[in-house]
Amino acid sequence: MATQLSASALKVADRLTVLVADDNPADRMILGRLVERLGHQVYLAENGQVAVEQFSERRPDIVLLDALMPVMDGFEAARLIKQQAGEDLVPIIFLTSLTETDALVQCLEAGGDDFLTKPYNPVILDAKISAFRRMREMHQTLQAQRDVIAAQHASLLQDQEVAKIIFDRVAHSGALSHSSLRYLQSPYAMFNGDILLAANRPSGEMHLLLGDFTGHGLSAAIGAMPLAEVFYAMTAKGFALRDILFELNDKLATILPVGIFCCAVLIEVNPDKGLVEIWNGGLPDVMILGPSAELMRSVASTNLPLGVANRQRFNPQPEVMVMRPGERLLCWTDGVIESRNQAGELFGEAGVHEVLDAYLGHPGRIFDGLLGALERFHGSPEDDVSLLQVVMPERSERIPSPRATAPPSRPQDWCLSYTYRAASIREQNPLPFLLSRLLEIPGLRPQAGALFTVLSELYSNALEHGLLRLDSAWKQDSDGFALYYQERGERLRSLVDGWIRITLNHLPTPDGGMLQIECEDSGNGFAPDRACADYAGRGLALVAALAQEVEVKGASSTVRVVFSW
Amino acid sequence: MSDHLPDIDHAALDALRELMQDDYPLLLETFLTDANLRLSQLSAALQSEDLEAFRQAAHSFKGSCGNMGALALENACLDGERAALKGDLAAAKVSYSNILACSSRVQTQLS
Amino acid sequence: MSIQATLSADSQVLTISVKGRFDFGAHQDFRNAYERSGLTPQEYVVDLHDTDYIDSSALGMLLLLRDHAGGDSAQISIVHCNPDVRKVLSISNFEQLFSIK
Repeated sequence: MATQLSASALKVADRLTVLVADDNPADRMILGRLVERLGHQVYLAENGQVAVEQFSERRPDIVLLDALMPVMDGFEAARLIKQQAGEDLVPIIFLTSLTETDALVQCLEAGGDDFLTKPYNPVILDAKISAFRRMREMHQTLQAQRDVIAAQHASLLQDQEVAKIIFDRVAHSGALSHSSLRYLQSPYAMFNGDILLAANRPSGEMHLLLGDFTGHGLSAAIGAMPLAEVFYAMTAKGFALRDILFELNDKLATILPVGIFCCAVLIEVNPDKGLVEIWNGGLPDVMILGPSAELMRSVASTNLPLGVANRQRFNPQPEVMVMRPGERLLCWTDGVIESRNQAGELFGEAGVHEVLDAYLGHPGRIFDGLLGALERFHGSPEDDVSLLQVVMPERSERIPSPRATAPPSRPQDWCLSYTYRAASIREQNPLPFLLSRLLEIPGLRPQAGALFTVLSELYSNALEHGLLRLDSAWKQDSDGFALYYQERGERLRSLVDGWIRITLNHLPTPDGGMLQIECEDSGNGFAPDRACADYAGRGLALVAALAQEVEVKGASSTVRVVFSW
Repeated sequence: MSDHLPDIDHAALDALRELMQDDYPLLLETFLTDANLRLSQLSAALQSEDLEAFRQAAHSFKGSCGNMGALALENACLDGERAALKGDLAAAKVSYSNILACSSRVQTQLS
Repeated sequence: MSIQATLSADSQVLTISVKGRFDFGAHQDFRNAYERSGLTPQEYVVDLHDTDYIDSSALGMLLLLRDHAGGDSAQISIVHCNPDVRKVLSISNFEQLFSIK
């Protein structure tokens, strides 16, 4: 003990409580006084048992423990103290003149953190206590941070749980149960930002949306909410795919931060006309398979994902194509293509084409075949995949539209006429508005689907043939079809003259009511005599089937349709 | 070896005096009382030929001698501890007489 | 993954090179590459010569860069893409927003 430390004045925060346990009274006195001189508070114990009792009572910061003591030795005391300390870091320094390695090992095994040998050296004692104080502080900081993180993590998990429930309901709803659809959405994919929606227009076409948000968890779930809301609301009101796309893109571009967007495929299935409309923005090719599962066509992504482009740049024009009953459409999110096996190889488009080749002639087994192939490739059920199959229904299998029961009420007597001029025709679709007017008449609600179909047919005829002068003859084959719709888009964009007038004339009758719909346009009329062609003019035949009376007037630029109930 | 070591390291003792201040006499008294206790433990252990008890008493005595600067006595205790550890009763007896001699010199010098 | 940004001698062109996987892990580094204060290049080049893989969050990062560089008036080229990377960019039709070479 050649060196002396002067009594140090420690800051209160640095002052520790130290338990000194030694059965030798002289040693205990000296060590106790040394620790006090370093500025700490000391508790003394003369054997292991007293040390353990003192520890439970005082909870000292550091324990200095003699190894060999009567009643209870230091090893046992160390074990009991560590047990009591639990998660708290309580450094135990063994006081010893032990020189044998075995005994030192025994100290460590009992939970000792360090040794201090007799005779005591005040400088070493101070250094050790300070080192353990720093270690203790670090431990406490870590513990506190860990507790904060654990609490935040728990609350985050809870938030995610709630978000997942909501997201599952939103992202996985609508008319998905229709017999023409098969889909798989793995649970992981769902909360990973994959979304699948289905809904019917009042006129019976089905709208489908398969989407994949960038990001995952909450950020993806949040974007899904407005997406689903707009999709369902607009589809139910009868809006066309392009209107919905425009609105979806606009909405997402407005609310999502830059860098978050939604790769999506939107599809309209129209069994009555045997047509599908497909818009692909950022998802893998949509495939259309023929009756023997042969690949007829792929629709590649030609658009920016939803939420990226501004209004001017966004192109909401879907591709329109013919699909006959029994033909099927397959689409998926990039989880399929980007699936990797244990060796890190990609399933890729090659994988998809292998499956298609393998099931040639067995269209009904393609969907399961693809799932099976993915599972075999991946080694376990793939957990980040969304897959959708649509089989074109027979014409008679009209997709049912929701029917409200009409409360009995007195029919009213009125007439409304709307004239749409070129600028409005270019920019908007007036049909949802007209339909909502008509559905205010309780007696008409049960016929909402038929009414909407009739209105759309009349309006499209007036627009496409009357104003845009498109020739139905083009629609004789699939290529002509594509050309027809491309031309329609271009001519519509450059439309500057013309108008379409729709007059709704509503009359009460003794038993119910009668609605006359008259659609007139500024064009030279269309040719109803072509109505017999395969796709062309099917519209007017459809109208005739749904309404009680159809009459083409004037230079065939006016059509009058009568509904009664 | 003990022949070469001084009985008391006076520098160590000065440091203790400075550390303990008014309690220094109490420390001396405590040490001397404890020394007598250890000596009787050592003697009893030899009589009952309990070498483990002898080792423990020597070990504990050695620790406080070190702290008190009683260098020759500390060394004698170490010899005793080693003899007991080896199970050498004869050597332990030799150590004991050595410890006794050193201890009486330390007691005289400290009192 | 490592990201390196180099400014041309006349300070007009900032080239950002991405090595390895270009995914969410690159987020902060990629931002730092163009957000350093005092940089006002006229033109940005994203060099993907040593990029093995790109995911949708990287596409998001490219959109953030585009936004930072002035949105529709931004001049950004993405160069030296391998076929896989190129495929991901073209599925999302990023040719409409970036000059991809």
